[in-house]
Amino acid sequence: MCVHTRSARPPQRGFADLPPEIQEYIFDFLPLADRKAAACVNSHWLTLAFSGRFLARTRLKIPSWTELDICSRMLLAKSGRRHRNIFAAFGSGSCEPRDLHLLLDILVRLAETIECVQSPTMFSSQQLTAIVNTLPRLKELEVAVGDVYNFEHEGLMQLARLVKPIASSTHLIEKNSLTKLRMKLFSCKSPSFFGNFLRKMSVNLRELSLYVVCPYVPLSSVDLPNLTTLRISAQQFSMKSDMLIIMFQGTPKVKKLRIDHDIDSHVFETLTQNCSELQELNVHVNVRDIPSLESLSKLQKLRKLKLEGSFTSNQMRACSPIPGMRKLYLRVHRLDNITTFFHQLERILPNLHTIHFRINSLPLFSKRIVQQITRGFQSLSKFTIEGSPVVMRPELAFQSLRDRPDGVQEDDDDDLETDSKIGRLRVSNCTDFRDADLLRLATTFPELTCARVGGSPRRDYGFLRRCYRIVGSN
Amino acid sequence: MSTIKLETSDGVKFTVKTQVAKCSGTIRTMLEDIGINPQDGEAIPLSNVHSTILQKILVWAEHHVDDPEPPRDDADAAKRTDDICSWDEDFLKVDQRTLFDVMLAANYLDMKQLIAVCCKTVANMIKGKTADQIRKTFNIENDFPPGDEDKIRLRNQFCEERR
Repeated sequence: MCVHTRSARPPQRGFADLPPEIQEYIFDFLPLADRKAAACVNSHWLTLAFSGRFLARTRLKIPSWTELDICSRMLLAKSGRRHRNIFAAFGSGSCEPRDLHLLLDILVRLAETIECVQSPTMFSSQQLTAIVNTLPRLKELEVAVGDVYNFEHEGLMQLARLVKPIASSTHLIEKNSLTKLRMKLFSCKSPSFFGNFLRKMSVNLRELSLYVVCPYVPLSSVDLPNLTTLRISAQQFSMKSDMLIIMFQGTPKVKKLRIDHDIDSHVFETLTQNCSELQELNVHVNVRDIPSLESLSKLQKLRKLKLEGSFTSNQMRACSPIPGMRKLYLRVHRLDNITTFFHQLERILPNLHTIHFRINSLPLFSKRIVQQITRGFQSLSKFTIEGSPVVMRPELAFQSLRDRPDGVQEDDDDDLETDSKIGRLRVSNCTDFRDADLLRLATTFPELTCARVGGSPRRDYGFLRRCYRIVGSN
Repeated sequence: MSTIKLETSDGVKFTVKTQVAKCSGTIRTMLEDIGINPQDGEAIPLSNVHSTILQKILVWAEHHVDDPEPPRDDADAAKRTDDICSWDEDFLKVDQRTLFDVMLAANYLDMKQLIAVCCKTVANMIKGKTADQIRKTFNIENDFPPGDEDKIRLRNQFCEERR
């Protein structure tokens, strides 16, 4: 290293001399609270703190009219920030005419940027239509819908006044850009509203989540050709089987499906036939029916399955393997033969990483089963068994471990420990588990990093109600 | 071990291991893509970097030369500032002037890891402070007309984290 000359360093430089991309990068590391302080530093910092990139990650919260004083209301309506997400929380639970007035006032000003509207508030179908029509760039909508009788008339009058100029200035949106819709449906007075609404949204809709409270959903056949995520929560009576069947016929590309109420085996079969792209499925089949698992093999792309129902080993024989499946959560009502069941499961789903097995009947679990599972599923790394304290004795599996003499010969050492790759083990309602078993676990499952064994809170007060956790056992 | 020569804005020449110099994306591009031959003995001119700063940056590059490529980070994820390693923390315990000069030079030399750690350091200087304290720290003028700051503060209260 040789020095020739040495000139003075350039003059002092400050924050303002940093290139804009570096300034923005610094702000990337600031959480919201610090940004709010930084925004008050000067006008340049204000634009930095609420850059478009950041506003995409936050939302503008609109409280109810009554919680806002006039001054903040004016400020809020004039908000120049180009927010993309709006969260409207009106105190009364439903959207009063004045609330809607305020909301639309703000929405109109931000119509060019808003992509997401979320609200726990209940809107009438007309109010919702007004909101949706105001926002040409809307992609995500999470709202509750119900026709509110008391002020429907007044609300409509308000709406007519507000919506008219918008509707006339920009032609009513024909094709909507909405991609994500989460909707709580309380009541639906106009039967065609919901169907029409969905049909209008249908082309681009990718995620649909329906929570239905009203007694009847007027759902006619709706084509949702691009839908990839569907979740339905409803009471048994509001979403009848035939309606669900119609629904699945129009959703050929669904990848994630979850239904939060019992379905019958007919619905189960329809969905397996129509939705061959499924990757994640979460359904319960009601106690009376036995779902045909054979149809499951049509879902070759399935990776995660949560299934509740009754099973017989026989129906599983006809099922062909799904090698891609990684996670299985089973809640079993009835089961004829657990040994055959797991033998079949091993054949159908050889590459499982996770098994969560919950059973409500029959004292079934034994050491042999555990052995079979740990050997059969080569890639298994998480294993959970749960059962009711009365009928299930998973401790049997560990009891036999406890009874095994310590000085086992190498040749005989053909037991559980040989090739178990299980890293996480959880057993609930294990009433007879002692500290000594804990040590056993470590040698039985050499890869174990976490074990949780819980006792029954009802039967053994205090005894083994804790969870054991072993970290890095060896 | 091959070396190359770098010449700073004030005419100081540095002889640097090629591997260390390649911590800079700018120099790497010059050597690999444009095909400047370091054996020529000709120094690469770094007209935007002062010798005192380059010296500091080379110390950093020497220490981090064997670091693995960082994982690509998610632009939307909230970023941490508490994961600066203690060596870097000591390295950046300098006056503000030097810190900003290092950042500008690191930006010119395209050294992503160094920029990141500097930005985290600056972010930590902002965190937990009031607007007044920030102004004092960075010597910034308040250019808001009287009353505007309160309006901004009022408007800020409606902004919240999504979910």
